[in-house]
Formats: sequence, structure tokens, C-alpha cells
Amino acid sequence: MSPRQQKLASAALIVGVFVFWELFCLAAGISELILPRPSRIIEAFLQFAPAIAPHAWQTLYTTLVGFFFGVLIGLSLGVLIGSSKLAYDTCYPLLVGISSIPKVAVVPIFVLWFGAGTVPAILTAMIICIFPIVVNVSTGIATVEPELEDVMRSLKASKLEILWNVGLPRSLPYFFAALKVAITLSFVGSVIAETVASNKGVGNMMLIASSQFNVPLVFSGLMVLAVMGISLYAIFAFLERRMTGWATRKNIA
Amino acid sequence: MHKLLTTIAFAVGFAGAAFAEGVPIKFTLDWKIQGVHGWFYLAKEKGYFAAEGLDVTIDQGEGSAATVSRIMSGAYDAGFGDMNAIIQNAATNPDEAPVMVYQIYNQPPFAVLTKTGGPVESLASLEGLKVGAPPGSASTKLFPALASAAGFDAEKVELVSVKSNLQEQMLVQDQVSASLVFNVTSYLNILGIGMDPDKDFTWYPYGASGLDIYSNGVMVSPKLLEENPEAVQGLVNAIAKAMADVLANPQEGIDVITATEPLSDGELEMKRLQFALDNLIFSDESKANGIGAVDTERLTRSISTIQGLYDLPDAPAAEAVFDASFLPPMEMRSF
Repeated sequence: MSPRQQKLASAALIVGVFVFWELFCLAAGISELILPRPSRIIEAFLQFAPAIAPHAWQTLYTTLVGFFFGVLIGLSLGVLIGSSKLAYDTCYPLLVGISSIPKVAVVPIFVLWFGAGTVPAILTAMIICIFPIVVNVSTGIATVEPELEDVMRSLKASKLEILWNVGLPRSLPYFFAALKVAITLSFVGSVIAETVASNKGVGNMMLIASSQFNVPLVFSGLMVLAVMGISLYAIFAFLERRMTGWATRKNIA
Repeated sequence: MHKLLTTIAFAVGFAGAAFAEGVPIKFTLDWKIQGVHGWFYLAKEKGYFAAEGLDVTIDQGEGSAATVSRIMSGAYDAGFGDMNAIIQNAATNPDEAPVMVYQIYNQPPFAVLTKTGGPVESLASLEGLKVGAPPGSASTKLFPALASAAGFDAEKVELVSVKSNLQEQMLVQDQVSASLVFNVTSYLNILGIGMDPDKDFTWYPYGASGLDIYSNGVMVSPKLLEENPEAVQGLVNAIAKAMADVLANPQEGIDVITATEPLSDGELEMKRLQFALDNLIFSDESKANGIGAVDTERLTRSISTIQGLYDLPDAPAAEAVFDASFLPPMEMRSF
């Protein structure tokens, strides 16, 4: 399959899913309160677009700010943990513990500390995306080939120089792979926080819409989230190809 | 790093408040923005809060009991929430529990919902039947107290755990014979599924059956009450004034809601407001004493009900959970 055919196929699949959904709802006579048809969802989206926009911006804003801090912390922790066996063994159990906590349970605590709104959403987006970055970066650094390190050491390189010249570049492919996962997780984090406690954001909007039985609007909220998630994923996938294309085998069969 | 981040988080959160004028008050609602919150937003919109020297920030809530925990944590200075949650906390943490200063919902919103023409003819006939009850909901927790007030045996009623948003559906499908509901929510849900809540269903309000506890109102933190009583007075005055505006012209209250949240359905929120006014706010008692006031005898009675229900170590005094000294003059609170 040529790349072009491949793209066509995936577009056809997406369109096909929506067409099936539409026809199925029509044929089975499913109530709009249970599962609205895609055409109704798009209609609701167009009708409410000006009112949805500020909510979408808020979600995008909290996601990106949370993601930024998450990457900053995740990267530093990953480097620290990856370059020292002691730090690795000490910190890992704590990290696993923290990342196993359902974030839904953490949001009310953030609200008690900071009040409802933007801060809990940013913090939730942040903590939810730290873990995959730490795991990937530390693995990347910890698995640097010992031969490379030996060569560096025989050239009298310091530990820091080895990290800078070998460890970090070696972990970049892992880092960028983690970014793609982390950005979608950040979205989930923001929306979770918004459904629990906020005045704005797509999560909050969906709750308001469902309390008014406007199910098509609830689904357009989901659609907005999916589109934003895919777009950000695509941006990071592009960045990954640009920055670490050297590490990928050409023409994966 | 974490410390730096906390500092940044604080800066982001409070930058707005720092530059504004007036006493900053963080106010939390009981739930997402709805028609029944019109007066709070109207008081802000029309500058009633500003005229009292207050800079009020209104945040949406996550439940009327959560209002109490939000204020106790110090994240909020005031809010709209449940009196019974105050009573519960006043018994265990008397120094931290918020104090009610303006009792807006005079009647409890809890009700037993049944189908008209179904097997339930009175509360006593619930014995031996299946009743849908959301676990953790106040209407479920209060059910044993309702039973002893109404004179039937709660042990003989088979309570089925259901999620609150499925209650009406399960009743319609005869999976349960009755549901323990919040009347404001349930009334609107029934309209939403296209049935007539007055004709197709029969309601047994807890309040009418002898469980006459109070419900949501405006509460403030003990800290604000002690350090800045003028601000509490200002807050109550502004809300009472805006409430009078909404009573005179309900559309004004709905308009400010649809302006704040353009996704709100004005017509539906108007029905919600009207229902809350007729069933929760207007009563013979609030007619006689004015909106916002409580009857000390009734409050004392409901405190002992709550005490028995949760096995509280001791009962707080009525004066500890409600402070009547901020009530505006009667003409601002009559209807």
C-alpha cells in the first residue's frame, strides 16, 4: 500500500464508523436522549459553537500549562532517576504509588487547597502526565550501552559529560514517544478536574448540558475533546519525526 | 521544584483577587450554575456586592454538603449549602463549622416519588415494596427518620441501590414501586423524559410527613463572621436585595444565568426556579417570618433528628448553627 492509499483507508474508516452510527440510530429508532445521531451532534455543535469556544479554550489552556509543568518535572525526575541506580530504587515505589491513585479522587483535595477552577485542572493535568515521561526518560538513560560509556570514560569524560553527550541524546526517542502519550493524558486530567469543580471548560460544559437533557451537546463536547486530542497528538508525532527521525529505521515494512 | 510550583499555582489562582477592590469573598454554589442561582449572579451583575464594599467571586459547586467542607478547608469564605451538613460538623468540629446566616430553602427538597395509580397509596403502604434509593444520598440517609416520623417500619421496606439519574426511569419501568428523590432534580428529569410530573406521579415530601428539617442557605466561615461581620452583613443585604428583584421579575434572574452561561436553557431553568420557589422557598413559615429566617423550635427539633441519625456525640445549640443577627428588615424578605 502506498502512503497515500493508507491515508485514504484510515479516512474511509472514520467516515464509515460515522455513517454506520447514523444509519444504525435511524434504523433502530434510538432516542436522542440515549445516543444522538452524528448529524444531530454536528448540528448542536454548529448551533452552540460560539458558546462552546470559551470552554474549549479553557480546557486547552489548562491542558497545555499542566502539560508544560508535567514535562518539566517529568524530564528532571527522569534524568535524575535514570542516571543513578540509588535514586531509581528509592523513588520508583513512591512514583508507582502516586501514579496508581485515581486522579478523580485527587481533584476534591486540590479544590480544598486552591478553590475550584483553573488551578486544580492544571495540577491534575500535570500529575497525570508526569509518570509516563519519567518512566520513558529514565529507561532511555539507564539503558545506554555500557560500551559507549566506557569509551567516554576512557576519554576522561566526567559523569555529567557522559550524561550530556550520550545519555540525553540516547533517551530522546523515548522522551518524544512519552510526549505523545502524556499530551492525551493531560487532556483527560483537565477534563476530570473540570467535571468535578470548575466554572468553565469542556468537562463543566458537558455537565451543564446533561442537566438540561441536551444530549447532542454532551456528545459535541466529546467530539471537541477528540478533535483537540488528535490535533495535539499529531503535532507531537510530527515533532517526534523531526527531532528523532534519525533513530527510526527507514521504511518500516 | 514542588515548592516553586505551589508558589506559581498560588500566584495564578490569586492574582485576580489581589488587584480587585473591596473585601475579597470567595463564594461557592451548591452545584453547577442553574436557574435557582440567579440572585447570586444578579447581586454581582447589578453591583449590589460592590456597593457593600465586597469583591465576590462565585464558583460552581459539587454538592450542597461539599459547600460545608470547602468552607471548612479555608478555600472559601462563604457559600450556598446544606444546613444539615453544618449541624453534623458543628457537633464534631464546633470551632470550624460554617454558620448559616440566610436560610433560603425553608423546606427540605427530599420526597418519595411514586407513580399515580401504582401500588403506593400512602407512605405506610411502602412496607413490603421495593424502593429505589441512591446510596450516599441525603434522601436515603434520612429515610429511617422519615419512617419514624410518618409512623411506618423502615425495616420492612426493601431499599434497592440505584444511581440517582436512573431513579425515574426505573420507576417508570416498574422495577421499583417508589424512589427517594430530590424533588427539584426529579421534577425536571421527568419533564426531560417527556412525562407530566404532576399528573403521572404522586409526591410525598419528607417535610409534609413530619420530617421538617431545613435545607440550603447562605453560610459563612466562622473566621469571616468573627473578623469582618460588616462583610457578612453586606453579603446578606446584597443577596436579599437581588432575591427581591428576582421575586418581582423572575425573568431577570434567568437572564443573568443565560448571560453568564450561554449554554443554559432559559425556559427549563425558569421551570426549575419556579418549582424551587413554590416548593422549597415559599411556605407558611417563610410567609410569617420572612425569607432567610428560621424557627428556633423547629431548628432545635431538626438538630436532634440529625443527632439521632448520625449518632453525634452532642447536639449543637440552634444559635451555634444559625446566626439571625444579619437578617435584613422584614420588608426586604417578604413575598
